[in-house]
Amino acid sequence: MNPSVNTKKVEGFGLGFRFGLADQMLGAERSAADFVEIAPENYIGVGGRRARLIDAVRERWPIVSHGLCGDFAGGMPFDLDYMRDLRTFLKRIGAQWYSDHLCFTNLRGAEMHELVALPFTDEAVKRAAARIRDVQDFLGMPVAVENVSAYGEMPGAEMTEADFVAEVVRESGGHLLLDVNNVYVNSVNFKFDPRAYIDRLPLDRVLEVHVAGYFQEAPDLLLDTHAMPISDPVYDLFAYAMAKLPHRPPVLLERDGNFPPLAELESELARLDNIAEKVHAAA
Amino acid sequence: MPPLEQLETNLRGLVFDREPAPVPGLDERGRRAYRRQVRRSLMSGVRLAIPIARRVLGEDAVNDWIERWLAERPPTTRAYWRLPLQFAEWLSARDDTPHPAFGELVHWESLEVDVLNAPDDASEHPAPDPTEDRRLVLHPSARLGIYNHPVHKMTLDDAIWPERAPAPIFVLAWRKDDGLRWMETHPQTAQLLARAEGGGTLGAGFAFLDTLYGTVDRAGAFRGAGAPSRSRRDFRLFAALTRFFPQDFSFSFRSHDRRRLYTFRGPCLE
Repeated sequence: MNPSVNTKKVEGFGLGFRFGLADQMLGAERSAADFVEIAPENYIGVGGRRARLIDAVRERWPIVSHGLCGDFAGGMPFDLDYMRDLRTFLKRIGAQWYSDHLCFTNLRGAEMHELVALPFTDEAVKRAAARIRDVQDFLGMPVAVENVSAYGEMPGAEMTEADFVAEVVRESGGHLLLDVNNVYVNSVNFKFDPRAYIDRLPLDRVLEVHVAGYFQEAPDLLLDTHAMPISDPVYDLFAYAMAKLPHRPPVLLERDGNFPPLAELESELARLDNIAEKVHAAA
Repeated sequence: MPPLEQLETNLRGLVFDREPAPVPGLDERGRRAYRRQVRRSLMSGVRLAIPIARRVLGEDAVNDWIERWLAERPPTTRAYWRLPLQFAEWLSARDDTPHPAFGELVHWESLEVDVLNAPDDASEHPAPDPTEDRRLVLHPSARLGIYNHPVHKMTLDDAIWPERAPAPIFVLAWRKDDGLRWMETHPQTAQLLARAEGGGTLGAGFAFLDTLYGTVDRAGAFRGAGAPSRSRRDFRLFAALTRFFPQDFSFSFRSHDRRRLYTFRGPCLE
């Protein structure tokens, strides 16, 4: 028997569904997460335990799908076979939108399974925007791009990172997945004001917000590991972003490693919720 | 070459080549970080799947082979769990590995990941009948390995290179209760399986065997055990055929989704 799909609207505060959290999340009688996010690459075409997990998830929570290998600005041709598989999968799980990262994930045919920053050039804006439009048309659902963490400035920059992200969103007609942690990480790595960065984004196009923890490798280098608790400066920046947003998009906590007891993640969700409530009460 | 394309080429050389290629305009911190982050991600995806190979060959040597793979044939899969199998496929074509069983062991350990993630059997095929010319049906998780060494019997506690077997070993693997199950099978069964994966019929499969070995005992094809009970009807085909052992055996096996072709080399091909 096919399990049903939870069609509740995605809103509130969600958690990334990961294998390392699966038993805790599915075993908990009550869930603090209003929705979950999954990476489609980990589930497309699989059976066995993974398939059963995703069936259990889609019955319990509304799902959003967050890709890891979309290569929105890469030079590879549109992979029709993969996109068909993706579309079928998104339909099966009842995904309400699809997002991926604004970066390279594939270099001339080689998959990296890692996110590498783009050059902030008009050529990259045009390439990314065209691909996002194609993906959105093909999938028939909203598509959002996420601002990524970066560890080096690519050559040839013609604009700031914030303007680059904004241009891609505007030119593609797509949406923005605002990753607050990534903004903070880059503000340390490249010494800019993270609030000014947020101010330059098309905040009316934000479909979802991500928050996570980083690892401090050096005083001037933060790594976006998703394996640590959210830091205080990121909570502060989250509060700033929530105050600036003209609406209340769903907020997702990403944790991809060094998994703590679920209660710890739930307390982080509660803190995010409290911050959002305070911001909106004050508005 | 347009600047973006040139940058992609340069970055590919930076992260995948044995010696990092230059990326003009990218600072040293960025070069170091991206090379390390990408390689760490890809290498972890392979290393986690091959604990026995790491134990028996040593961490540094295994890392070196993964790095060679990254440089010579970088991964093309979007599925992280498929990285080990892509490494194994590249390794199986090498004839310069430090031990002849290394590639086979990596293949076997990777096969487990592939089997555990293979699609479920959603088909409603009728049980195959040896007297009818029906299309052969395989369970989607069925995989075949052909090894010159009994690598499928190696364990972490007994991680020493095994002696070469007197004849190639045909190992059929499948998933049951979320675990890996396997059985050694006969080469003729393996060939029948290959015909089935090619979309052939049972009759065509037997006719093919007939051309190789003379008339094959069709009833004998369905003797034997080792089949998973849930999909027994499919696995009856894999039961041992017990007539001949070919000396000039070559074998290729296309996966269930018909996207990947596994090729195996045995001593009979050398």
